[in-house]
Amino acid sequence: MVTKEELMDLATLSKLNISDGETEKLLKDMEEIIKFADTINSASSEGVAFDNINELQNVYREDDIIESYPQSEILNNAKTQEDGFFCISNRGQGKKEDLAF
Amino acid sequence: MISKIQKLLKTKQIKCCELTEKYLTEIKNKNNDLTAYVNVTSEMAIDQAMAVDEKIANGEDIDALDGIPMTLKDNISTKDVETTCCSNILKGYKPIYDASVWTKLKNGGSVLLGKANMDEFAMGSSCETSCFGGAKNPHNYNHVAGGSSGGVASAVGAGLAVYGLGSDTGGSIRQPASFCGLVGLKPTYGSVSRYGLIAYASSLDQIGPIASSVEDAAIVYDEIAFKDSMDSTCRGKSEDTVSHLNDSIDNLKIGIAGEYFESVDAEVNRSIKDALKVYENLGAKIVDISLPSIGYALPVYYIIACAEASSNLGRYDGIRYGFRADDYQGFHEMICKTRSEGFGEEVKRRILLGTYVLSSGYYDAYYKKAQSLRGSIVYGFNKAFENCDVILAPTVPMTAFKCGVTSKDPVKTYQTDICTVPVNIAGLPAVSIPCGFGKNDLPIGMQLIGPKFTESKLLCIANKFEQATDRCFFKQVEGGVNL
Repeated sequence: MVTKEELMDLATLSKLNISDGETEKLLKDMEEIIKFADTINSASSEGVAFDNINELQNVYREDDIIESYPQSEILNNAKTQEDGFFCISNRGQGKKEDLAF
Repeated sequence: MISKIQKLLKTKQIKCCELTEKYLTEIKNKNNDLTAYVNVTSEMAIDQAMAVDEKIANGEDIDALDGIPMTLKDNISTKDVETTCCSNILKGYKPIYDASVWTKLKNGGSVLLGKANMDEFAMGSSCETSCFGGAKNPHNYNHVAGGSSGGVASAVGAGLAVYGLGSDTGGSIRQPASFCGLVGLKPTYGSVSRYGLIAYASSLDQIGPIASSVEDAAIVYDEIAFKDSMDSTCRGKSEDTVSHLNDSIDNLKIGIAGEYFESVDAEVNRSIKDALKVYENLGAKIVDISLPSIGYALPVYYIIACAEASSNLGRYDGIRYGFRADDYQGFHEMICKTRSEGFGEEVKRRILLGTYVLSSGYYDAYYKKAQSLRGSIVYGFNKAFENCDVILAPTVPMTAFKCGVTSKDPVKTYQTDICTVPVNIAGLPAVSIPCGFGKNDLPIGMQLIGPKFTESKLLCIANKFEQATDRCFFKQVEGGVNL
């Protein structure tokens, strides 16, 4: 069973806010879903490898410098940009104390 | 339909612009009720159509999909065209590059009518988690088109596109194809490039076609399955499928696993049994097989998919693209508010579950265990294919749900994916084709599952069923473009 404290920890790790109004429903949903996930406990997986199920092999290329996307295009979708950097204010709707990335 | 249109274009019985205008007019007439499209790209479509008309007027050859009006699910990147994954967090986002599949189709002269509706970030089975509202089933507007590629299925089923590309992570091409009476192909993992497909679960996602016939699906698959240096998990197809559609199916062994039929509605069961008789009359042998490992495929799928999604969706933070919250104090709060306001309920639920199964203390019990069981499922299918050439199963245990039902109980909704998810876990190809009608005349679909990279054999076997039944399970709905 997921406790309210655990749910809040998960929210912190996931960078999500959970309002008081959402907590009860989410706790109920998480309990149901984890009960459903717990059914794997009854299955045996002794001796079965768990990595590289799709049998992927590494693909290599020559270490050549190739064209990438122009910086200006990459910045196009940002809400704010400055001097070629992604930029956000440290405080929304408040005084501008910019952080540039 | 694709061959028919190509013939009309090549013999100049119709111009591509005329054809495209027909589709755009029908979209204008019907999309408000269907919500199949979330973005109609009329100007781009007409420009593309004019380019095809010019090619034909100059006596140039046109390729297989030149001039064919189509749609793309809204998680497939289209340069300078809004691509939202039907999420508020990506509203306004215009990719700076095309997905590889779209680059190939665009350069080949495809006409993009618009971007199709979908469940938010492909998380859902009804299209109703979309921030634009769900797409409706063209056979009955009180029922869903399915998900997550519901918009593509709704558009193709309603005659508002000749074909579309969707994506399938746990059934998201096959299930809406089944619900809307269409053909939906989920290719082998690694046969179609995922470059430009906005990721949900990277070890499960595959792009594939939804079309109104097996031949159309085969034509599209042959165009989109190619080795792509931009996706290191992609090796392309083993062989063309179109040239093998009429191969012999002598000595075909079709495997039936009882585990697929445990919770299937009676009308679906009946249609599958009738379909088996068709194959028996064609000379196929029905073989009983067992796949006990698929009994835990559903929890394995949701653990792995949500774990991968929680990582993939970590990139949505409002800094470089998409929605950014307005009112915040500090960088960390900006990110949390952006994500909380931008994501819908189902997406948040799956991120939280994914975080839970990957977190310290739970990783071994859930994620590691699920990956081991994934190996068992792969092994189970490999064993089954020693005794049969292809497995036949229902695509979905029921016909399309009524609108508004799925939001109430997430686990009950997850359980409807029981027939589709094993294929994604094992990375196998599967095609859903219509095989009957249930109550309220809603379509029923069956799926054919094959070993890896056997799409040509799968589509040939599917084609034989279509020919033997004279496509009687494909029902043209009223309205839409009819040629």
